[in-house]
Amino acid sequence: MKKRDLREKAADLLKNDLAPGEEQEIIKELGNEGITPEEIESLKEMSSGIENAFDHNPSGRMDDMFYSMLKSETRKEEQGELNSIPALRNKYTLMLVAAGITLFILGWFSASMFKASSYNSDELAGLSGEIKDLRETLVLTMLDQASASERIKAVNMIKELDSSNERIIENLFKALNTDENDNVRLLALEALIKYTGNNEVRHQLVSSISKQTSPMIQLRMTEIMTTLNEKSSVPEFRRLLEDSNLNYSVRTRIQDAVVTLL
Amino acid sequence: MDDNAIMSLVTGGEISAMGILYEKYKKPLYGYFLKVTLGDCHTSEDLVHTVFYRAIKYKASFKGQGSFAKWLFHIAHNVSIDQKKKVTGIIEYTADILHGIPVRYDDQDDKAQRNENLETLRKALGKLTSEERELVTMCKIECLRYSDVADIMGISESNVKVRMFRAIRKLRDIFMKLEKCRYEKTGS
Repeated sequence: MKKRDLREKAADLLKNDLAPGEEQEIIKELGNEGITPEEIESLKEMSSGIENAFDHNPSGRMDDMFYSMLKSETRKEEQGELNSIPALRNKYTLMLVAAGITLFILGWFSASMFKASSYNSDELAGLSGEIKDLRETLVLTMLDQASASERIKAVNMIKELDSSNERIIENLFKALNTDENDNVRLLALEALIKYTGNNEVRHQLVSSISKQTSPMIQLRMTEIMTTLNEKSSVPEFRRLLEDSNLNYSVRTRIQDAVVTLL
Repeated sequence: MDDNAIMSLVTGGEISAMGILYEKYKKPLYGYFLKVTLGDCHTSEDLVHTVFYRAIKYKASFKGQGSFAKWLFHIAHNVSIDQKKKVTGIIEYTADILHGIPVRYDDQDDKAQRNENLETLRKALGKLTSEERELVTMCKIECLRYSDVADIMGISESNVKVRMFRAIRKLRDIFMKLEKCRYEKTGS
């Protein structure tokens, strides 16, 4: 065997990529080249030791960076899709103009409210409550739109609303459990995280686990339940594990989560 | 759902599906960069982020003919080259560079010995050239074959194997020298 061919086979040997018979032959040939079986053993150890040289897990910072970039890129993609359809682009422009006019009127209206000394603080609070209700109604109406991008926008608006009423939570769960679009469901899940201090929300989140079929939502559910240390989620995760079509990486993560939670 | 099927979702506009691939490959990629940068955790995290950013940006270049892992590590290799251009001079391994990596000191002698051996191995890896270090690191990635590494690095498979064997022998020689020095210093 040529020296170069032998070196190639030696690399296969280090990767345990040779048939048993061939391995002995190569070890013998290498011996003729002055490379003893002991040296080969130590080279194998060295090769496998490399994997453990820097045994460390990345921090949550890396996940944060990735998921925030993913969110922004997803938004750009959605925006690109909207802009690529002229009719929608016009509709979108019209909506922006309408939103601008509404903001102007609201601004003028609010300014005049503050100027009018005859209004007392109760009336102002009542008015602010009505505006809040109107915004909630608007986003909930948007959540029923046929277009996925409109529904995504609605969920993002809900996330920014400083509101935790039952109507909002109920609609977020409706989106999480029934929306046909994975992105809408994922965003609804993200929006629900801030309500997990509420036991009923946690309970409903646990019930939602086995309804999810998208790997990315299953993964996110796994992360959330692990972070919350929600032990009641274990039976639901086990139900998911029974599905033979479950994504391999999701399965591994769920198995890890179950071990952590138990 | 295999990687290529998920990637076809991404190229079809379902960018969020990249999250599944990120979850699967974040650790191998992080491990790769950790070895290339000799344990710089912060930089390694940034580099993994850059790889996935580029994977999304250039998603259309994935034609589904080869494995997703090979395509992803090709990006990682390019990111690594760009990083090398940014870093001037030779990176020397010191224990200080292991930001956040806990150095475990166990009471049991064998574990303490193992920690010392790992420390020597890290130093030895630091004495390889950056090309040699990247090659041995990439050849150890489970989802990559020698032929994949050859495509990624733009050399023949035969060359990968020959260089790999040579680099491992060099690493072993450096390791032995460092160990000898350590024994002479400590007398243990």
